[in-house]
Amino acid sequence: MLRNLLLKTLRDQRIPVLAYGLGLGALALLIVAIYPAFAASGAELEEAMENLPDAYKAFTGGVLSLTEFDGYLVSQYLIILPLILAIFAIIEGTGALRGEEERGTMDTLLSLPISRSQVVLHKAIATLISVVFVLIIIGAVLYVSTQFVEDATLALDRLAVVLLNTFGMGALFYCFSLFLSASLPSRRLAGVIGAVFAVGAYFFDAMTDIVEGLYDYRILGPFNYFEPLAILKEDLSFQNSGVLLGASLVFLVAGLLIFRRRDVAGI
Amino acid sequence: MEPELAIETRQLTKFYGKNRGVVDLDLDVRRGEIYGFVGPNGAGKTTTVRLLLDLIRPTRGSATILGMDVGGQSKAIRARTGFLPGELRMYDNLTGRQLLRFFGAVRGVTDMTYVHELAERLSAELNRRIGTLSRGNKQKLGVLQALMHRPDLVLFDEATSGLDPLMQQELYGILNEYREQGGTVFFSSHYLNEVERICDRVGVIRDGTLILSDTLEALQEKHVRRLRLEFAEPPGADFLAGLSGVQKESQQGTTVIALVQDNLAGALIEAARYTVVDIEYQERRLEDIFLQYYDTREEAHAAESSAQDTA
Repeated sequence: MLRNLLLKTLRDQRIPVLAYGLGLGALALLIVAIYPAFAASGAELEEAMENLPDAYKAFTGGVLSLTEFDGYLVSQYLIILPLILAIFAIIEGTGALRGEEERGTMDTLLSLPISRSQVVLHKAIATLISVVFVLIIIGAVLYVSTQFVEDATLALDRLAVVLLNTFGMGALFYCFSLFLSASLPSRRLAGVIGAVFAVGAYFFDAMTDIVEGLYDYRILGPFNYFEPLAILKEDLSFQNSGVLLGASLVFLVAGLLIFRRRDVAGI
Repeated sequence: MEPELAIETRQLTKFYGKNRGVVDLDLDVRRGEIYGFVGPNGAGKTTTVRLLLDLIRPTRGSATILGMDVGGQSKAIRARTGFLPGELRMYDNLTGRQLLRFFGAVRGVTDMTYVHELAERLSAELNRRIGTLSRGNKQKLGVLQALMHRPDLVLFDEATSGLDPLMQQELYGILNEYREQGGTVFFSSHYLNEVERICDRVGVIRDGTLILSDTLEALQEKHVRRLRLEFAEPPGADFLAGLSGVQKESQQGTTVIALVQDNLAGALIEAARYTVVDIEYQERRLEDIFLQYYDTREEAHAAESSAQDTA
């Protein structure tokens, strides 16, 4: 596992990956397991949903019905998954460059015959693979658990596209954090801005559904391109995931170019 | 053909905003020598090393290592160099063995026999996590990772800090062997005794500027040493007057102190005309040369500032 920086980074992340994968998998299992109780509430729940304020609906993925499994899964689990992944992405993204400089290990790492671009790319690819591992665990738990719960049906291809869409969000938060890590003078500052960006993006998207004048600006927020309900109910679109991955690539390249040019901070 | 110089910098300058790092540094480090780079804290030693490793970029000037441009060919340079900083920070979650395996893999080292030999000589702890090691034991790992690929050049920046005296001796031995095998060492330090002990040539940096660079012998030749003579009777007031290469610093009763540049024999012949009770002659130590040079420069600097203030 220590043959290159990519494998070393994967090795370093194995415990967080397992913790995130198993933790989020356990949460998925719980959510699926209690679905029959929701479904049984039937008409009462539908009525309650109709009476809920628009703001609440906006914050839970615009779901109109909790008695259908798709809507239930999105509002109770999938809509917050990018935010939970963002914690991992921000920690890893800000730690990749500025964190390593603040620990003083970057000098030693860069005394090896490895270019700055390789440092960025190895770390980025490794972390994105880690995110894939987390999502595979979550996907496996979701798919298998729905096989044992009545009325909880989940098509494998739709689940895969939802997870791809979620991966796009994770990649965006990671690459944005990496860009901040390359650009800003401290890891803490990069972390704060990364967290504000992730939470702010979630609120911004919800607010565009509530505040009339904001609706036209919704395309500026990343959550506009996260549509798990549409994927589960309507078409298998890859377009949104493409936008998220494209934006991730822009931040990755920008971070790489900045890191290649600037001084490495000493301790 | 390999270039004669392992390190060559020309007008290498680094400013951090308005703060001075190094200014117009012209360094020539020859292949196969141990070059001591001395100066007090803040003089610019670490800045120089970090410039040579391309960790920071120069404000102006150029630097080549083993004939390759530091800015454009840094990866190729790092394949042939080793680096040990004064306070080595490594991955605390790895054991020493795992760290060396990782560094070895990146450096393309397949045969670890030499590393294990060095580890044995330095009594390095390889099976404990780095986070649990003392500073000295971390520094031993640093030595191993810097030399594991038998580089053409190693850059040591305050490398012996944390090592106990026995291990320092072992390291000096390892570096001497390394030099005998053709390796070059750039040895930055503020411990003048160790520089004096192992270095062939010495560069002195002050306020970011290289103020002298020469062989130890040449520096010692130039160095003025103090001669203290104790006589049975006070010598005449004209004792040592007009003697070239010797300057009388003071005369109090039967004690005369003279500064000898290059005419010790002349001074002793003059002294032999009287009854000499005791002689003390200062050893040639790098520390004295260093302090003398610093004192002189300090005075010149003060005088210059004073003149500017007056003007």
